[in-house]
Amino acid sequence: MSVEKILDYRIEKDLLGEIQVPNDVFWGINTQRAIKNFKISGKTFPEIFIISLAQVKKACLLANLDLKLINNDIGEAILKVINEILEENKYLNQFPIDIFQTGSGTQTNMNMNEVLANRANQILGHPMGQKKPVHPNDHVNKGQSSNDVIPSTMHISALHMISEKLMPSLDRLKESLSKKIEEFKDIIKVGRTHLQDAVPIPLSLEFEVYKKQIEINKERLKKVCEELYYIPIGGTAVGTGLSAHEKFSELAVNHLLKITNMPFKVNPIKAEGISSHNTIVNASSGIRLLALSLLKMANDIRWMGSGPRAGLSELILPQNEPGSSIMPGKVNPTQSEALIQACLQTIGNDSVVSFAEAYGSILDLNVCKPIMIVNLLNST
Amino acid sequence: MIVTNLTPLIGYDKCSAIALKAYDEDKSIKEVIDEMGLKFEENIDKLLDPKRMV
Repeated sequence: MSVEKILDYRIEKDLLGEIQVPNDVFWGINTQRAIKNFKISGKTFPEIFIISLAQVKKACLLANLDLKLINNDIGEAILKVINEILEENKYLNQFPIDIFQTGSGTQTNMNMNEVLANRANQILGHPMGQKKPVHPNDHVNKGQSSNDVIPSTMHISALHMISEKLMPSLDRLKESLSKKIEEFKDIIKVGRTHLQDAVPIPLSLEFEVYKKQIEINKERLKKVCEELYYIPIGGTAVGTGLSAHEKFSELAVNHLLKITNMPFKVNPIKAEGISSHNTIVNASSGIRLLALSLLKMANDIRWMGSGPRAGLSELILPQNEPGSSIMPGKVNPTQSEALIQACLQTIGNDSVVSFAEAYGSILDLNVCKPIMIVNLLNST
Repeated sequence: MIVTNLTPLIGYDKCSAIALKAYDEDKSIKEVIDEMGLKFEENIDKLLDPKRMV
């Protein structure tokens, strides 16, 4: 039995020295150092971010293969691993690094580079941790920097969540509201201003307001998506494209378009998409506005449903569960309360995103990237 | 960090070693490359010229 088997770890080296990496993991020395250096929240990136990062890696790899900058055998092995992630959801448990890490997301980019390189080396019949023949920086990260890869991944993951999760939920909400509008169309109730009796109003009109706000927010989010399609891939460290082939960005973005089925374009000023994340702030504030609309709806509904004997009693809310541990028979507007709390969380997330732009966008690199995207994704 | 321009030629790890040695011994990247006896097809001054990196 080899020494490594007995010890259950392998020794990996970098410029700072040697450390132990468990034998049964695909990550390498960069990731292992990050696990130790960033024991902070215990929170890791959501899966959609890791999947989006794998999509970026695939696009970049295919661009490098087009340009014949990577040997075919090495390229095919890396591609196989990326497809294992994208098609079979493999290795998603290989990303253990805390979200509170370097502001550029470098540790998570390297985590991906190491997982892809180690598994590719294994496929090619070589031991892990040797960076041979597949090197995490020289092959997997070729023509890339965390500084252009992570912003691109931020945009892609945000777009996945907005278009695949948020928009369909808004459509379902619109449908439910339409049903209520139809159901309530002949009911006339007291309209109220300043919480005081005003003039009559159809109950359906209250719900028309909520529906209209959803429509306005959907249109706004569509414009947000248009901005998110511009990514700084190929800009490398500061947007100048140093060490990437001059045709790299166009090729990579075209591959990304096919991989994601979304109309990505290269940001004409790549440095803009690296040094600042205006578009992420815009996306976040679009979702904050949606949260404010939902907050109004949830508040109105719980007010109209107040009672049953000594409140407004205009709506009978679904009785989903007993509401009190001491007051028998009490039923509360818990769905409204849950929605209100989710909205408040979203407004808080948006504040973090704004501060991350304000404090993070200094000189040529925004260095609050992880919390920006984690908070934005949390709001979707 | 001009050594970044050499990564496509000699790889990340060797470039890291050059950068660290230059910093530790207070030398320029070019001095370290000369000491290590590394040769490049293109003129080293051109490879390390910041104007050609943008």
